[in-house]
Order: sequence, then C-alpha cells, then structure tokens
Amino acid sequence: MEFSLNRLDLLEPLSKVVSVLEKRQTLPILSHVLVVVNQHGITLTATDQEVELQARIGVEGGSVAVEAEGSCALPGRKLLEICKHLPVDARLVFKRSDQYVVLSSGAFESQFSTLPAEDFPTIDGQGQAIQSFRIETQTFRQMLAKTVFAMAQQDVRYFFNGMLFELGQGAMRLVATNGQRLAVVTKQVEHEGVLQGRPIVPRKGVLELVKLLDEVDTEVTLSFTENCLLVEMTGCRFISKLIDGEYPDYEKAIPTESDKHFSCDRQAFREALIRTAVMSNEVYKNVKLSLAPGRLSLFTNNPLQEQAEETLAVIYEGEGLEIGFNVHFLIEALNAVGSDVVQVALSGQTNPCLITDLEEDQAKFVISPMVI
Amino acid sequence: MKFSISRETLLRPLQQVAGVVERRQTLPILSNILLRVEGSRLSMTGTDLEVEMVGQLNASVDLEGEVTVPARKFVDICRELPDNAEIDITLKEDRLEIRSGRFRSNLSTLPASDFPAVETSSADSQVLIQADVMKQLLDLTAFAMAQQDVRYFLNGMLVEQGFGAIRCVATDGHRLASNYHQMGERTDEPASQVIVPRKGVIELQRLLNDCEDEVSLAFGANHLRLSTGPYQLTTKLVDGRFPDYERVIPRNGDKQIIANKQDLRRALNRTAILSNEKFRGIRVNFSEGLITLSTNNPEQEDAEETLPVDYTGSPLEIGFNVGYLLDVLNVIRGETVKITVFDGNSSALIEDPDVENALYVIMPMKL
Repeated sequence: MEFSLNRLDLLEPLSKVVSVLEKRQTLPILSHVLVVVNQHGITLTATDQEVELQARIGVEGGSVAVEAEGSCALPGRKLLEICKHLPVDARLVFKRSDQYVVLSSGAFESQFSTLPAEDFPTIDGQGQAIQSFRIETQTFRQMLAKTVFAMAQQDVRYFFNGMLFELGQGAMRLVATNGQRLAVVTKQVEHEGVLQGRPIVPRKGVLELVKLLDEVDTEVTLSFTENCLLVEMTGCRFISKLIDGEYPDYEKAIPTESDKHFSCDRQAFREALIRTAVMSNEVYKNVKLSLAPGRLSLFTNNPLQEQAEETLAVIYEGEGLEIGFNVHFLIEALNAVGSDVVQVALSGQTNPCLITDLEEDQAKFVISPMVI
Repeated sequence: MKFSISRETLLRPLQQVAGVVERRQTLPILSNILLRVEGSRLSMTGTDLEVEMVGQLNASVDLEGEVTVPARKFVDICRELPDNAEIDITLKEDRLEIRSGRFRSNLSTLPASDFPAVETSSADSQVLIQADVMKQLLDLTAFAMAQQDVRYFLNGMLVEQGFGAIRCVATDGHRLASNYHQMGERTDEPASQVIVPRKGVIELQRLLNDCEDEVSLAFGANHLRLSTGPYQLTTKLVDGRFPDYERVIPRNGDKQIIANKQDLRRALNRTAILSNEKFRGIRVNFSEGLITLSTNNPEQEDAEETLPVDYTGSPLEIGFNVGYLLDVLNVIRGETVKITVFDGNSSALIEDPDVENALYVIMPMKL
C-alpha cells in the first residue's frame, strides 16, 4: 500500500469517520479506521459495531495519487490528530512496510502500528434493500430535530432507546418516546414500489445521523434492509443496525378527545417555564399549570418551601383546569416546536397534554401528566 | 430589605460574585451569597472561605437590610428574566421575594449573621497597577502552578513585592515560570513575599478579565486584596516557604537556540501524538542549524521532525516532557523563542523576546 494526497482532501472525511469511534472500546480494532486503497481512490471506514460510516476520496479531480493498492487498519484518533496539526497545504505520503505504515510530510515522519484489514468488523449492509427512497436533507434534518430529544436512554424497554421510522401510505413518520412523553412527525416521501414497515433505528444511529446531516447536500437516499438502515450521501455511506423488536402502538397514546384547547406564544411560554423551573423540586421537576379563561399560571415549589409563579396570556375560553407536568418535558417539546404560536390540548387532570406545532408538518408532542 | 434594580445592572456583577461560590460545599450557607442594602447601595458577597468577592452597585432602595440567598438559583432566575426587566426584591420574613412583570418567586434565605467573613488583618502595603499589566503577570505564569501537590505551597503563586517591582513566580517542581513588572525606579527596599492559593489566582484572573484602568493590590499578613471599581476580591494566603526561585533559574547555559515559535509549536504538537501517553517524553537533538524532535510509544509507533533553527554550538541531546514545552510556547508572545541550555542533564531556560521580564525553566527528563 502506497499513496499520497493533500491534507485538505483527507481531513474532512477522516474527522467525519473518526467521530463514529467510541472513546473506550473493548476490542483494539474498534479504535482503528479501515483504509482501503485501489485505483479508484481511498475509502475510510469506522465502526462501533452498531453503526458504520464509510467515506470515499476519489482519484478524479482530487489530489490522490495511488502508487500501490492495499488495505490496513490504522489508529483513527492518532491519525486524525496528526493530520490536524500538519500545515494547511501539506502533502501526505503513506507507505506500508511490514506491519507498519509510515506517514511522511515534509520534514515530519511518523510510523504507525497497524492491524490487518481482514480483522476489521464491517457491518454487512449489502442485503437486498426492501425499501428505498430519497428525501430532502433539510426536511429529514428537521424531522429528526423535532423528535430526537424524546428517545429514552438506557431504558429496559430497549426499543424505546431508538426511533421508529414508520413507513406507509406514501409517507415516513418518525416516532420517539420514553414512555412519559412522545414526539411524532410525518412527511410525504416520493418513492417507487411499496412503502411499508416499522424499522427501529437505535439511539446511537439516530444521533450520528443528526450530526452527519448537518453538513450534507440537498438530498439523501434512505434504504432499509432486513436489519440495517443505509443512508447514501455525497462522498459517504452511513449504516446503522436496526433494533430487533416490535415498537408499541403509540397511536393509543395520542389524545383525540381533548376538550380544552388553548394557544399561546411559544417563546413566552417557554421562557416562563425556564424561569419557574429554577424553583421546582430537583427530583420530580414538577410544574403546576392553572388554566383559566385568557390566562395560564405556572407554579413551582420545592421542599425548601421556595416557590416561583408566572402568569401568561393565552387564547382560551372554557372551564378552568389545574394539572401538573415535568417541566423539562414541556420545555423540550417547546424547544422542538417550529411555529411562533403553539396549540395545546388538555382534557382532565389525569389525561396527557397534546402540543401541536403549527408548522406544515404538524408535529405532535404528547406529555403525561404528573400528580402533584 | 426592599429594593429594585434593572436586570442589566445586576446580572454581570452577580455572576462575578456567584462565580466564587463552589458547587459542592460542606456548609449550606457557603452556597449562598450575602445581600446587604445600605443607603442607596447594594453589596453582594460570595465566599468559599478561602476567596471572597464583593460587588457593589447602586439600587433604588426602599428599605435597608441584609440576608443570604442561594447563589445559583438567584443567578438562574435573573439570567432567565427578559432583557431590560426591572426586578423588585423584598425580604418577607424568612423569604426573599423576587418580582418582575408577571413573574414572582420566593427564595429561601439564611440569616446574614451566619455568613462567614474572610478574616483579614490590616493591609501592610498597597500597590497601584494597571489591570492589563497585572493580568499579563498572572496569565504568563499561572500555568506552571502545581495542582493538589502535597507540597501545598506549590499549589499557588508567589507574589513578590520589592526592589520597586512586582513579581509572580509559579512552579510545580518540574518547571517554573517567572515574570515581573518594574513599577518605577529600582530600589533597595527588601522584598516581601506572599503565596496566593490556586483558587485565588484563578479568581484574580477572572476578575481582571472584566477590568480596565488601574487596580489596587493590598498586601496583609494573611490576605491579598484586589480592589477595582465595584469589586473587591480578597484571598487568603498560603502559609509556607516558597522555593528560592533564583536558585532554580539556570545561569550557566552556554548554548543558545533561536527558533520560530509557531513552527516549533506545530512540530511539537504533531510529534507529541505518538509520545508515551503517560510520560509524554520527547527527545530533542540540537545540531548545527537544526533541531530534531522524536517520540515513540509502547505500541512501537514513532514520529520525527526536523526543523531549521539558529544554532551554532556542538551537538546535544535532551529529553523533555513535551506537555511542559507546549505550555511555555502557548504563553510566549513573540514570533521567536530563545532556548538556552548547558548539557543534557541541566534545565533549559526559555525566554520570550517580546516580554523580556518573563522567563521559563524546564527540567530535563531521562528517556
């Protein structure tokens, strides 16, 4: 294996793939990046065995010059650190000798230990794609942003530690919940053939995807195989394993019979919650909402007998209601709402609240009440 | 106690004062700040028993009084109120009521009489110094302080006043940084030395970031006080004998290297990656016009880089902790750096052409 390229062409793809590596891992090879060099260019692959990211640096139009094909696994973080610290316009020459790879650039020379490419655990994402469709990056990114916060973390109900990608009726719906709050957003997608299925993408896969989409072009291709999600972007391919499990019937959790509807300014509601949250119980994070015609009062208190309250103007004509919630669940839902005005539906003290985003995707957020 | 004040006036000083308060502490009252209203002044005090910060502001006062409230919650509420909010604060029995617009909150309080004051003796001497000069003295030396060393006097900074100058020295036993500012004529008045604890140094740096103009430094038998505009920072001193820095600074170096700082720093950064993660050793070879840096680690990985420098002496090899070299290069202001050495077993002296009063010493390392 022998090749050379400009630092600038390597740095971005390399830092992308290295971000997938876990800081601590059990197998040494999981701290490595697989480098495969052939006449078409270089591919870099990193994995944590749940997700895999592959970046390609092609020979065309770039600075890559391949002297000898080959492959090996190199320590990812060290390689990235050295690249970062080389001069902006540096040219990097990689050359393999025995079990070492020598990287030289100008007056700098370093020797890396390597591991054999055959030992690198790639995720087999080559299975027949069952579903495949294209989606605008901007749209997809927004859908993820509106739901990602609601996923559970280290819940024993392992399917909650992920996001449901529900496909059907020409649309993709993203659902995330931790059992106490839920976020759901739906968007029509263009596709060929049938669109059907309920794959669950694990938390790590969703979070990596959010990071990747931040810097990507206009459209991406999503494909689901039996056990993987594949996302094709310009210059790179992302694979996440799926969670094997049946996502619960979330539709039942979305209230439909609410009779008390109010709407208010999202930002004012959110800021008042953040202020009053300071005095809520540090364990339960409770806030009490008192709804009356034209106004909503927020009230918190804690075991030190400290309290905070604020009243804000809302559009509401109906019966009064007092109801308790986890204040952070409310704040996180309001963070995700895109519209300036939110619509909130309540029915009784023991019934969940439904917050609706008035943007065109009509994202919905459900929050269970809390007895105070 | 009853007063009102705008959020804009209150927030910055409040954050400065609350910054001294430790997140975890043993006494509940140490998580509080003391509010005292007298005349038309509000004074706020935060302490961790070692460092005390007082901030004073004008407020429109209805009723004088004093009380302590939880620092973090008070800051959080004031920060989250809308810009330009007017805040009304009233003590009602043992609760502090905060009102602003349609927001109202009650904070728990503890009596002001329980609030610990940092004991201070009268000041023995006082110095007036420009804030940016003092800040530079600290910024160029603070990195060399020890952290949780059993030689407790190294977990702080020596501030020496005498010979018409003020000098700051920090060392952790492996490297040393020293910088001074000549206040006026060099005099023969004897030097007086104090050791400011690490936390005090960090708080001084934080406060000086916010200052312009002149600040006053008052030296007492067991405290150092910095006063500037609305703030007064008092830190206790460490009781101990600081090592004699003059003896640590090598004066016998006969080999001089002048290198481009940026080039050397970048080369060190690159080669450091493949050094031993624990010992961080780097081998530095000087030869006619060249310096070669090389590292290796237990995984048999290595890195090497050669760069041109201004050097005409005989060849020499010295090992260093690469982290110590980088720490020094990070505070050097000049474009070049001067390194003076004697042999492979002696400390290196590093000087900054742009700050001629600053000097840095790094002990060699056996590799």
